[in-house]
Amino acid sequence: MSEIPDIETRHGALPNLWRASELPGLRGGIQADGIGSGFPTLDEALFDQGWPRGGLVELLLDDFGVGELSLLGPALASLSTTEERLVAWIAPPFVPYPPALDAAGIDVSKVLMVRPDNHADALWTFEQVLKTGACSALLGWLAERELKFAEIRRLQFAARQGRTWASLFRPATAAASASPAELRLRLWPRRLVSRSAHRWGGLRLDIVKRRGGWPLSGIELDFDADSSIAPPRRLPIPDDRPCSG
Amino acid sequence: MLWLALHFPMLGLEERLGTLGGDANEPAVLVEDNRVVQANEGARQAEIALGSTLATANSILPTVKHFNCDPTAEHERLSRLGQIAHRYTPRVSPAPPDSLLLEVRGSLRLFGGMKALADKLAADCRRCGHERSLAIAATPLAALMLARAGMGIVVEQPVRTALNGVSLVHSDLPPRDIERLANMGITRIDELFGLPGRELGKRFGPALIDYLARLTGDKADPRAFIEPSERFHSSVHLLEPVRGKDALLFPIRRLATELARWLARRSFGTRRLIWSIKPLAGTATVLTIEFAQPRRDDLSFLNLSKLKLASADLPEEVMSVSLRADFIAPFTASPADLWGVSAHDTATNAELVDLLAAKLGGKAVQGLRSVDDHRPEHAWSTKHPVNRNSIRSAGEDSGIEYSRPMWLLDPPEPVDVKLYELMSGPERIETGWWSARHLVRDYYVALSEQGARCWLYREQNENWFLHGYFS
Repeated sequence: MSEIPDIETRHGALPNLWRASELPGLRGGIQADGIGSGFPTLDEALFDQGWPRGGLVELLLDDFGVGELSLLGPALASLSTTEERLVAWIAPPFVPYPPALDAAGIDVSKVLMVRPDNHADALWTFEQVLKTGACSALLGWLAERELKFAEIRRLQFAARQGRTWASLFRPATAAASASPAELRLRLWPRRLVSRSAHRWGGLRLDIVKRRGGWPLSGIELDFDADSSIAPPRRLPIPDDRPCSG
Repeated sequence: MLWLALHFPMLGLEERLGTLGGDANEPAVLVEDNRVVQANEGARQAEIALGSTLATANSILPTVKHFNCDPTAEHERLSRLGQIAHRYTPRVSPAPPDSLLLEVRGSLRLFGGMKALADKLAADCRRCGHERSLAIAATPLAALMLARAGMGIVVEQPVRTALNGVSLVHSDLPPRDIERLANMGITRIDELFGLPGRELGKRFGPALIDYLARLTGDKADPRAFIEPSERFHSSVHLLEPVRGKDALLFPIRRLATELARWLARRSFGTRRLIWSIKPLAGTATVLTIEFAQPRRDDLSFLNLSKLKLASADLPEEVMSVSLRADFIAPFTASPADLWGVSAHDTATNAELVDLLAAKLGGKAVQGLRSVDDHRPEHAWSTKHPVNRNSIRSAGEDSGIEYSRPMWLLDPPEPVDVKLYELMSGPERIETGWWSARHLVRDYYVALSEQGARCWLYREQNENWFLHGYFS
């Protein structure tokens, strides 16, 4: 019987096979190997103690600028500086601004921006990037109206196959429908309730779906206070013309 | 040494017909100084004689097409033919205006003997649309002379025997000498061999003696060989028009394999493939495929070409497919382990970029970099995704003291400032006065009604714009 490879080897060969021992507390010898998100509160709630190294994450949000990039920032910074692999941005809504990426510690030279013309091409690109495993992370935006359940399942499968951390950005309304993604997060902007706090960056998130756990809501994350930005105070809208120098 | 001469009697005319387009079966003549110098089958059947004036040719056959002689184009075509012949021997020497000389002694075994080699060459010439005559002899000049005479000798025999009975018209002697010899009653080369050398030299000068010595092999006749081309260009002309993309895969596969072999022989890789798919009439569809790194394997050529082909608009009926490759560079194979499998089964960055660019087009796949410029919209630019010529690396001081948004709107969007809550600012940016795009702007960080952190600016004319999101 010694010829049968041990269970861990077989597990490695079949990454898509879920085993009961993967439940938290029953992990057995498997070490959590997630990509540290940089936010301890979030890491604790996640199955891999961080972002999954191979898996699809859905980020559900209403508007741009709620802090979705700052949420991924620390992990992207560590991946882009430690790995040779690229970070793919598929059909981003705006330009990821290189000076800001620099400031966040993300290696801009690893950015691979792909702008496909249509949904079919975008899906194809998504799947190729994931399947080939040539990127350490992927940030993708797809046309929600044309996106089908089966397509998301293919992406989740491809992400596991290629060991790529894939983030799919979707409108918040998608939270109501089921999805095969292994982690789904609903992001909320954090209104500045207390103006006295000298930090103003942050977001609130609900875990809609996660492996090995129930949904969880109300996780609050603080982004590091940016010293360059003055503590928040409401400014009057200037009505004088800026003086021309 | 064994020399094979390839003579193209109609090179000029065929080149013009091929370049300017025309039916090779229609009567056509090549004209130089208003005299017919070459005539094709149709024109010869109408009994248009070489040397007659264009007016005569036109009066014999009003429908005859004529082309003016273009020596440069003819010369280019000859060197192209030389490149094709290069696959049979490394020693190819052009013999302008219309012949090639190949030293084939070392190639006989590989290509299965003189006869087989000659057949292969003849087939190649036919494919390129050239009438040719070829001959093999022990010296280059003898081979040339036999080819011009159309003797088609492809067996090895002593030069003097082979040249028996060949007219002097086919030799390389100046026309004046040929005429003088004819006046003396000497029209064949073997008659010339019989004459005493010293007396011949006295009458015709040392050039004739030198020519005869080189012809018979008594004197060495060194030749300059052409260098192999740094570019690959090959085409497949289809006998019948092809419809549909699937049918095109056959010629494409053939060319891809040919290119892969060509590159492998030189230990080179290419960074660009240019496919040109031509219909019977009209313009060709050109598909360009660029690689991030030099490649040379036919499988990836084929796969990336298929991707490109799938999204291309092709002519309805395709008559010919050609492939060019440039940016030829030395190829470094990536190391594979003992079993021929690379250490990781993940594709490299360059492979992924090539794959995406082949399907989506090069413009859809880009990298980013920072640029030192105070104008926010000029502080970045796109670049090739794999070339790592980043100006600054991550973590270095960008020189900007203020924070910048992660998302930049390109171009900025006009907004109503009443919908925003200004949080900090202003940051005055006034720069670019040296260029037409002089800007004076006050930047503010603001909160939108939805709670998004925005980057707004006000121009001098009181207009507000949204330029980014702090995300």
